[in-house]
Parts: sequence; C-alpha cells; structure tokens
Amino acid sequence: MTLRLPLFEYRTPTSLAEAVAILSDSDGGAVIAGGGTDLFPKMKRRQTTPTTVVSLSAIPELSGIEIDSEGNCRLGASTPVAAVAASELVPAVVAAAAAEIASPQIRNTATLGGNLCLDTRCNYIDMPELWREASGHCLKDGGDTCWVAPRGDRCWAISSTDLAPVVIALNGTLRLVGPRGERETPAEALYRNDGIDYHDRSDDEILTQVMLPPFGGRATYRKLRRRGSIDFPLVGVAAAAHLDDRGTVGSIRLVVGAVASAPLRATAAEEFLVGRQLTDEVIEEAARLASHHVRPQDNTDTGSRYRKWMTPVFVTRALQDLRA
Amino acid sequence: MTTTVPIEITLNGVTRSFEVDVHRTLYELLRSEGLFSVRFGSDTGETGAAALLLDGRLVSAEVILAVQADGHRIDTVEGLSSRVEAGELTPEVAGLDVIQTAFVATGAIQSGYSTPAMILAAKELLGVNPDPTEAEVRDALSGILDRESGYVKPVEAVLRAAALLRGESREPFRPEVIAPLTEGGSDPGTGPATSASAAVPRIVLSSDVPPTAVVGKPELKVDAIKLAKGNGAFVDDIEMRGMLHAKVLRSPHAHARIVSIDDSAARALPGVHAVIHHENIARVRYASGGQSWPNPAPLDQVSFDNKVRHVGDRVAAVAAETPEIAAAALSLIDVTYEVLPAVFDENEALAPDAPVVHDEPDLDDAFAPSRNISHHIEAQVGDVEEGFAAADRVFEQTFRVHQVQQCPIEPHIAIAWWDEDERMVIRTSTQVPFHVRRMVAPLLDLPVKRIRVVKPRIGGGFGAKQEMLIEDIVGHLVIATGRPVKLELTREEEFASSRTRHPQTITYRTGVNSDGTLTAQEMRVVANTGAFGTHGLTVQTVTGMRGLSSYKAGAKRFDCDVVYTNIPVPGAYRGYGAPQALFALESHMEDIAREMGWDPIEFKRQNWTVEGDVLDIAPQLGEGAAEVGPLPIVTSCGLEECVAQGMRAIGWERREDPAWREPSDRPNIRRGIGFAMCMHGTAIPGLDMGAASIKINDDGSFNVLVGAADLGTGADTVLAQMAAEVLGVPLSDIVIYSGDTDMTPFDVGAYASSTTYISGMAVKKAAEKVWWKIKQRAARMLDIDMACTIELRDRRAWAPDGRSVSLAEVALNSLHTTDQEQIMDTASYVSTESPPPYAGQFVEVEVDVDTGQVTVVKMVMAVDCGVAINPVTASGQIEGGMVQALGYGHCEEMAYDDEGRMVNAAFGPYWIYRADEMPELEVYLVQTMEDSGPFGAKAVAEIPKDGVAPALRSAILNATGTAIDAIPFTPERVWSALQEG
Ligand SMILES: Cc1cc2nc3c(=O)[nH]c(=O)nc-3n(C[C@H](O)[C@H](O)[C@H](O)COP(=O)(O)OP(=O)(O)OC[C@H]3O[C@@H](n4cnc5c(N)ncnc54)[C@H](O)[C@@H]3O)c2cc1C
Ligand code: FES
Repeated sequence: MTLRLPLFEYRTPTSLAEAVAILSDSDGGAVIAGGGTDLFPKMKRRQTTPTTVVSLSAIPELSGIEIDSEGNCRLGASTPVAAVAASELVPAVVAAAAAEIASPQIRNTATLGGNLCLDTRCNYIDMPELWREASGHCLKDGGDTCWVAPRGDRCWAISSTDLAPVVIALNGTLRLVGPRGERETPAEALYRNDGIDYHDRSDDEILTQVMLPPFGGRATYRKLRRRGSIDFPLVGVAAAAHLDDRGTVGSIRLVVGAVASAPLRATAAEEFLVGRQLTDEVIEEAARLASHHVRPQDNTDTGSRYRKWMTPVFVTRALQDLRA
Repeated sequence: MTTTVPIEITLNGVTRSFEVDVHRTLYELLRSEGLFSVRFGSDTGETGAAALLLDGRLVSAEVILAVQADGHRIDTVEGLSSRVEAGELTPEVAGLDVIQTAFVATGAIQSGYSTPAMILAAKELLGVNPDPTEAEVRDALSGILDRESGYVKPVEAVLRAAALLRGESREPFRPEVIAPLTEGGSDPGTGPATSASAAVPRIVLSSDVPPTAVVGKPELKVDAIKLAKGNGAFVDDIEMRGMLHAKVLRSPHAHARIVSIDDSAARALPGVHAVIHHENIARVRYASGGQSWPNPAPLDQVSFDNKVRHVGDRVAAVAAETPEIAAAALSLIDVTYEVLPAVFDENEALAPDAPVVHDEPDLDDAFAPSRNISHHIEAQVGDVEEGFAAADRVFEQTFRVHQVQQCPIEPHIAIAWWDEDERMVIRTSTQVPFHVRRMVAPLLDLPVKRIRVVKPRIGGGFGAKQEMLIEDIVGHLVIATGRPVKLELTREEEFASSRTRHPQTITYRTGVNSDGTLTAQEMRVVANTGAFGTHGLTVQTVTGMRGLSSYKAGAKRFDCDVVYTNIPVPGAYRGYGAPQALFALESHMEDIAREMGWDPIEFKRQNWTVEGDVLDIAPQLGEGAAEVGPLPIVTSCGLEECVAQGMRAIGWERREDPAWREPSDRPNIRRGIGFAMCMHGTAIPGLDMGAASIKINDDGSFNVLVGAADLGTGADTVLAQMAAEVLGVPLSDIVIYSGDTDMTPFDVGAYASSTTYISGMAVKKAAEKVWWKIKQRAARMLDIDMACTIELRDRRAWAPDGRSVSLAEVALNSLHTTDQEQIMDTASYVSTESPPPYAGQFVEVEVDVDTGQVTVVKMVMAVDCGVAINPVTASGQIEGGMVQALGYGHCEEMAYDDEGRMVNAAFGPYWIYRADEMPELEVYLVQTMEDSGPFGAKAVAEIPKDGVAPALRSAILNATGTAIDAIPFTPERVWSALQEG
C-alpha cells in the first residue's frame, strides 16, 4: 500500500518574489519542492510535515541551461536532472555525474536544485515513523540522541548528493534569493558538516541558479556504490585540475562526498599536488592526505570501515583519471 | 487553507477536469479513475511499477502530486491498445500496438505486474531513438524492477519492437535446436553453439521424446494479451462500494509483552469502523504456512497475541473509511509494552540463558520451546562414524547463509466482503487459495463452505504468498464492520512483516578416500526460523534432502535444530531450503577437490547421483513425520549433457589461463569462472495433489478449470497446452480458469515445483477422459463401432476411413440433439515420485581487488527439466530464477540495527538487480524423457535458485584464490576476505 502524504497546502508561485513571500510568511512551515523525489518520500514517512509545499515549477526563469557572454554555464535550479545529464552545454563531468543519479524515472522528475539541497541521510531517520518513535527520536528527528554516535552531541547524517562534489570541484557559484534579496556564494560555502544544519541557507532562501565558470582542464567524478545503479554514493570523489604540457598540476580541486554531512574539500592533498606530476607515488600520497581525516560513521548498511578504506582507492582512481 | 484545486489533464488523448486534494499523488488519482495499469511498488518510485508518460517522459506516479500534472499530457498503457469487439481474440488480432505485440511474442510477460511500465519505458525510448543499442534499451528499462524475467526477454521485446517499427522484419521468436555433445554427439567444441540472440532458449532434443502438436511448442502465454493491455486483472483492480481500508499496527520492538492496549481514542476517531487486537479477537492457534492438512506443528501463532516477537509483528488492526484515517487511528492506539531482551542469531538463541521467544503456556507441540527449539530433525543412513573412521581424510567446514526477502513487486494484498449469500469472499494475492480457505475458517469461526477464496492474476509470490498471511485480518475486519475491507502491505511491511528465507549455520563433515569416493557425509544445521515456526520443519527437511542426496556416500547423517529468534519470520522462498544446502555442499565439495589436488568437476562427477541411483535418505526427509517408504530411484538424468553444454558456453578452459585471469591492461581486475551442479525435486511425493475439470462448449472449445495457482509463471498456459494436445485443438480453443475455491476443483497450490508435474498430470488425465467421451460420441455420429479408432486432431474427430466430424458438431450433438449430456470430466493426481531435475550452473566474474566489487559478467545454466512443455516460459523461469539467485549470492541482505529493526527495508538500500547491471544470461534446455511426468515433464521453477551462489563463490575463488564461506559476496565482505588473504 502506498503511504499517504500528510495534509498540506500546495502553492505554485509564478515569480520568485511571490515564492519568497510565501516562504517568509510561513514561519518555517513551508518547504520548497523541486521534483519532490526526496521530499515526498520523507513526507510519506512523516520525517517532515510541512504546512505548505511551494513548488518552483511555474517560475520560468528557474529552468534551462545556457552559456552566458563570459562563457559561464548557467543552470536554472529547476532544470531536471535528466536534462543536465543530456546537456551538451554543461561540462562533461557534470552530465556524467547527473546520469549516475537514481533511475531514469527519478531523473526525469528530480531537479538540479533539489539535488544540491538534498537532505542528509541516515539509517535511523529513514526508518518508519513507529520504529523511530520506539527507539526514541534521534537528534535530527527532534529527540536528543544521535543513535550513530550516542555519546556525541551532533547528528552524523550523510550528504549524499552526487552533484555537489562536482559543482564544488568546478568552483561553481550558487545564486540564492531570499527576503533580504539576492546573494551569490561559492558552492562550497553552502555546505556545513552537520547532519541537521547541513546548509548555510535560511529556510526562506531559494537556490535559483548554479554558475559554472569556463573550465579548460580535466575533471572526473568517481562514485562507489554497492552495485551498478540506483544507489546513493557510498563514497564520491570529484576532481578538477589544470595540468601543463608535462603533466604538472597547476591547480586542482579535490572533493570527497558521502563520507560526512557535507562534501569535504581535500585541501591538504590539493596543496601537495600543486607543482607535482601525477606519478603513482604522488597519487598514493595525495590519496592518503585526502583520506586520513575522513571518518565515515556507521549510518549506512555498509560498514564504516569499508567506506573509510575505499576513500583512498577512489581518490586514487579519480587522480588516475586526470592523468590519463 | 485550500486543499482542493481544479486541474485539467489530457489523459490518453482526452482532456479531463478533476477536483483534486493537493496531497494526493498522481498514483491515487489515476487508480481512482480506473487506470489500473499504474501499479503500486513502493513509496519512492524505485520499483517503477507506477510509471506513466508525462508529456512523453517516463515518470513515477508515486512521487508526483496530481496537481503537478495540471495542464500536462498523461499517457498510460490503456491508451495504446483497443478492444477487439468482434470475432476471435488472438495475439495476432488483439488490438495491441507494436511494442505490446513484441512483449507478447517474446515471452517477456510473466506476472505482467510491471509490464505496462516497461512498455511505456520502451515507448519513450523508441520515440526519441528508433534504433537503440541493447545498452540503451537496458538503460531505459533500468528504473523498473522486475523480479521475474531477468530482463532478458523484455530487452529482446524492445529491440524487436524497434526493428518492426523501423519497417524491418523479424523471424518468429523460437527456440534454437542445438546438437548434443554427449552420448554420440560431437566433440565438446569451444565456439558458441549458435549465433541466435541469448534471449532464445537453446534446446538439446532427446530422441526418446515422441512428437507433439502443442506441447513442447513456444506457445504465447494465454494471459499475455490482457497483461500487455494493462487490463484490471490483479486483486486491487476492482472497485467495491463502501470499501474500508485496513492498516495494521506493527510492533516496534523485537520482543515485548503487551501490558495494556487502549483503543478508545482510535475508536472515537470519526471514520474508524473497527479496531481489533488480542483483547477482542479469539485466541485460535494456527501455523500460517500454506501446507496440506494437517499443517505441520507447531501451531505457534494466533491472529493477535499479547506478546510480540519481532519488529513488525502484529499488534492491532483497524478498518477506516480512508487510508489516512486508518493511519491516524493506529497512532491513537495506546500500547504499553514491557520490552524483553531479544535474540537474533540462531546460535545465540541456543545458549542456556537466551531469552525464550515462545513461553506461552498453550504451546505444546514445539520440540523444546524453553530452549528455543521449534523442531529437531534427524535422519541417518548407515553409520557415519564408521565411515569417518574408515576414510583416508575427513573434512569439516562451516558455512553461514543469510536472510533475504522474496520481494514480489506486488506486495501481499487482500480484499474481502460478505456476498449476497452472507458468505465471505476473499480476493487475495496468494499461491495457495485452497489452503487459505481451510486455514482461515477456524480463525474466523466460519465453516469452510461459507468462505470463497479467489486468486486473480498475482504480481509474483516466490513462496512469500504460500502463506495465510493477511487473510485472517481482513476476514476479522469484515466480520467486525460488515463492510468490504482491503488490506495491502506497504513495502516496509513486505520486508519486515511478511516472509523471508531461513538463515542457517551449516556444518559439513565428509570422509573421503584417496580414490575419490565418499565414505560418509554429515550435515549439521542450525536454522533460524525467526519468531514463528511456519515452514520451519519442511524447509529444513529439504535442506537435508538436497544437501545429502546430490552425492553418493557410504553413510549419511542429518542433524538439524530449527531455532526461534526475534528476526522477521522466514518461510517459503522459491528453492525452499535447497539454495542454502547447495551453497554449502557445492562449496565444500570444491574445497575438498582443491585440497586433494583433484579437478572439482571430475571429483563431483565421480560421486554425483544419476539415473539408476537410489535416493536413500529421501524417505526420512519427507514432509511431516519421518515415514519410511520405498526407496526412490532416479529415472532420468541429463546432467552430463548439461555440464558439457555449459562448459562450452562459458568457455571453461579459460579458467586455467593465467593471462586471462589477470588481464595485463587492468591491474586491479581478476577474472574467474565457477561451476555448481544442481539437483532438485519435483513436487512432494505422496502429498501434493492437483485436480482439473474440463468441459466442452457449443463451439467445440473447452473450459479447463484448475485449482492450480498461476502466479505469473505461465502455469495456466502450460496446463492449457496439455489439454489442447490431448483434445486435438489449438491453444486458442482452451479457456482456462484457475485458483477459485468455488469454481475450480482442489489443488494444493503453487509450490514445491509441483504445478506442471502434478496439476499437469491431472489436466492430462481429465482431458483423456473427455477425449474418450468425444470419441465415443463421434463414433456414434460417424456410425463406427470401435470408438478407439477415432482420432482427434485439427478440431475434428477422424474415422479411420477419412470421414470426420468437427468438435463443434460433437458438442452441439451432445448438448442439444441426441442423448444429451455435458461432455465433461474431472481427474486428480498425486505422485508417489519426485523425479529430480538437474542442472549445471556456470558463472563468470570480474573481481576488483582494490574494492572487493564483484561484477558478474555472464551466467549460463543448462537444465534438464525433462520435456519443457513450453520452452519459452521455461527459459523465462530459469532466467528470472537465476537472477533472484544472483541477488542471494551477491548483494541482497536484510540488515538490522542492534534492536532488530531493519535498516534497509526499501529498494535502493536493499539491492535487487536492475536491467542495466545484468550479466549476460544463456539458457540451455536439455531434454530427457521422464516417464512419470505428463508428456515427459519434470519441474523447472526452483532449480534455477540453487546453483548461482556456489558457482559465484567458485568463480571468485578461481579469480582471486580466496574462498569465502558466507554469502552474500558484497564488496565489503570480498574486500575484507582479500585483505586477510
Ligand atoms: C530511489 C532513489 C535513489 C536516489 N539516488 C540518488 C543518487 O544516486 N544520487 C543522488 O544524489 N540522489 C539520489 N536520490 C535523491 C534525489 O532523488 C535526488 O537527489 C534528486 O536530485 C532530488 O531532486 P528533487 O528536485 O526531486 O528534490 P526535492 O525532493 O524536490 O527536494 C530535495 C530537498 O531540497 C530542497 N529544495 C529543492 N529545490 C530547492 C531550491 N531550489 N532551493 C532550496 N531548496 C530546494 C527541498 O526543500 C528538499 O528539502 C535518490 C532518490 C531515490 C528515491
Ligand atoms: S539522523 Fe538522527 S541524529 Fe542524525
């Protein structure tokens, strides 16, 4: 039997201003829906019960992909993930990462904005309502313990978005519109390593656009999952670099996803790599540097030990891709 | 707040206006409009069963609000076809579009539950890409989970439709006949046997099999047209006036006593019509397994108990006017639990201080409930200790097999109501309608005669529906409310509150002589039967039977404890104890061979049970009590040919080539090939019974009424083929109806690989009786003395002199003009034998040694199922079964937290294979003539579940040198094992 959605009011504003007004008037009771592929299942499980769902689908300027006069690739937040995957305007690595998300049916509905704003995930919060209640609600669920790390005082739910590491690696900028107007922020600055407060964004701020600067280097995204498809990443590594003719790294951005509540920049590894050629030894050291502070928690059904050990393997593979 | 809004949708070409509640999904709207092809699979859209085209793009109706469709175009499968309003309805003239026709023509439809979704996925793809590659087709189908076909034939169907739409022609979809390799056949070459598409079954014919007209032919499935059209054929596809919606309150605790239960607030909620629980429902003990009377003990269940024994166990149920009200009522039931310590592992449950799962005083028929032992099984042939003492070497090895779920895409669902005669009608998705009727009767305090159980089309079962799982709840609620009641499980309930496969710890001890013979083989099993003992005895006897019959040994011993724990309940799952046994047995035998320096296949061949061998332990491991009967003897065995065909198809010789195993251009990859032999049973001898009635109609067509329960396997088709063969008519002249306790004769139901063999024999016998009556009447009509000289073929009865009458004339004569009678007869069948089908299972893998990820590249299965009555449906069974078995060996696993709550009760975290990650599959059907079976048939349904896990282990071992004694082979497990070396 299909679980039913709780009652809510549904709004389809036709302008951003109207959307922002609805959100800010709602006192936190309203949520934004992109495609709803993440939101509606969560509402069915009563992980969230908003009073109002604000669909962005009727705001025309939020959809579409274009290259502006300066060569930036601008993607509207409502663009379906399937359209990103099929686009020839976006960097190939973005299209490839988008094509690895969920299934065709879900990609046809899911949006880029929803993916970048994807709620963090954890075994506990994703259980049926009754089981959560019986365990005692966890921190993210309004309770006072995180069942993954009961002694701590934070929630360890994981950031599982496939596109965020790629957008960060490509040094993307996000445009957000809220009651206090519009702002731009580096993609990296949106994410916080906290399972509950995973975004540096107020509830009434709408992600409207992703801007990717022109990129002439090499980039890759490597995703570990338990099997071929449909799966959320267990580890995701995005890397984007400029190499000179001799293969020396001029600049690089390396991002590890799905091992913490935010995508993690591997800055130590990045610094180490600049000025070096991607030899096997260099890659090995970079993989070590990128992984040693990674501490996945036991909150997927795959053990944390395995995910920790796979991080250097996937960093290695990503760096090998850049070399190839 | 405004909760209802007007919307306008162009629905299958017609513009329609609706007033919808904003929180309604498109799924709810379309179904309430009678568009039943949009089906429930899960809440998040991962099964893809609720697919539709929104402005031409495939989306899931589960995660789209109806309001989101405002102003858009929606297409469903109902819009693709038209009704045939005059004349014959045949696959050629069915009003289907090209894609639907291709699905019918290639045997791509099994239960048909997700077929509409696949057809729409194909429609979307072919609209933008008229000439897709196979990979593109697989990608397009990848969002639709199919538990039945292994995707082989659906992919073929889409490619075929694409070709036809491009204006190309295609050969009819027929099996490919392959020359035998053994017994006078050619030398086992190494090249591929045929260039035909892998979707086409390869058949090795036997000269012992007489020619037939309908049997053995790739006839199209008799239910394929309605399923391709998405016609309302499943339990949920009816509208009942005043129907209430049921929901069940499930235990959040693995083990607890219900101290008090206060339902007053729930009852007071407007729209709630009944709340039932242990305080208001009579305590009647039963065992839920759908098995013959008397059900094997222990009777350790009651509809509602004052104790809960696993997370997901029943606490209470409500019936309310809407699902929302029902859900709200559940949250108003105030239950106080005394939480008890719980135990999940079967070995820990045997410890002296373990919590006692069943301490109720009225349980008196379990083996040792205070020690958590529900059954204890022992069987012995000869003296194993003597055998071990005499052996040159004795090997002992312990294996662990885990818990998986059947995952039918259609969950359990039942709708029940009082009919005009105040009889209870239960329309339910079951494999065992007759057992359900008998078993539910005492719980509802109704005589059997006041209950009618109807099984419509069902969306897969795989054993999960060989249970009386929810029918008592809907029955109680109908009695309590007087209204029709529907209960459909959620996906989470299907995982945690339905049935699963028994986990086991298996220890083998085998004595071997240096000449390769086995002096003794012992199997000790601790089986985890979870909260209840349903199927606990019989699954484990099958484990013992299969685990100790596949090879000959001087002495054999089986010792098994079936243990209660607090995990969700194991029960029947296709394969029924055999996949567990064969994983351990085949792995153990291979390891012995390696240790002794022998070729594994040679060592196994030296010992495996073949034609003429006695199944010496079988009489002690029958269903129920240990009856000692005559020793069964194997009468047909095609194993050698299966192994030869499989070795050629997989390229077995590459196994020994180090350059192939370690490809120099991919340093992290190791390749390997593995093998397992499989031997199964066909039906439960002396117990399984099926019956059939056949009657003639005015136009010379026949109604065939069978109790058998087609759960998507094609049973109706093969049974109809057998009737058509005997009666000399084409399949289209048979109208078959099955699985309705009022309308059809008895049948035990769909389990134990019995339908083709047992129900098939009943159909054959009934058809022969009708055949004789027709011949007698035809002889009279043709004025011939000897009725036995009349022949039936081509819809006519023929005299030796060439004169004939049509069957329509015979029917009209008998019904209307002369010495009138309804030509009709009934027959039953029960077998004293259970002839084993055999198979060789081969698997090729690539192992990424850096990550432990195993990629299964190819699977070949060559099966001796006697004569395949329909080679296309038989190969579909094998393909689908192999893929379920692959999930078992490779990636599926029910995972729990420390409190016994499942952490992956959804597709996604519970991995079942998708179209785009499938290995290549190739199926060989090796004919043998099994004289005890109808037209030479043996079973095929379960054997594909048996060999994949051990063959996968064997392939990983070949690739990496690492032997792993537990499944599934997840990346984590393989990687850890590789680290340990
Ligand atoms: C079976 C399954 C498999 C999946 N696999 C993957 C996977 O492999 N990789 C992956 O990354 N994801 C996966 N997902 C998650 C999800 O479907 C995708 O991430 C998708 O891109 C989310 O987009 P959406 O538009 O549907 O999001 P929604 O559900 O609409 O929104 C998600 C969240 O973002 C917020 N939001 C949406 N749009 C905006 C905006 N413009 N501004 C501010 N906040 C916004 C919403 O309020 C909500 O909290 C999977 C989901 C399912 C059901
Ligand atoms: S998800 Fe519950 S505390 Fe983190």
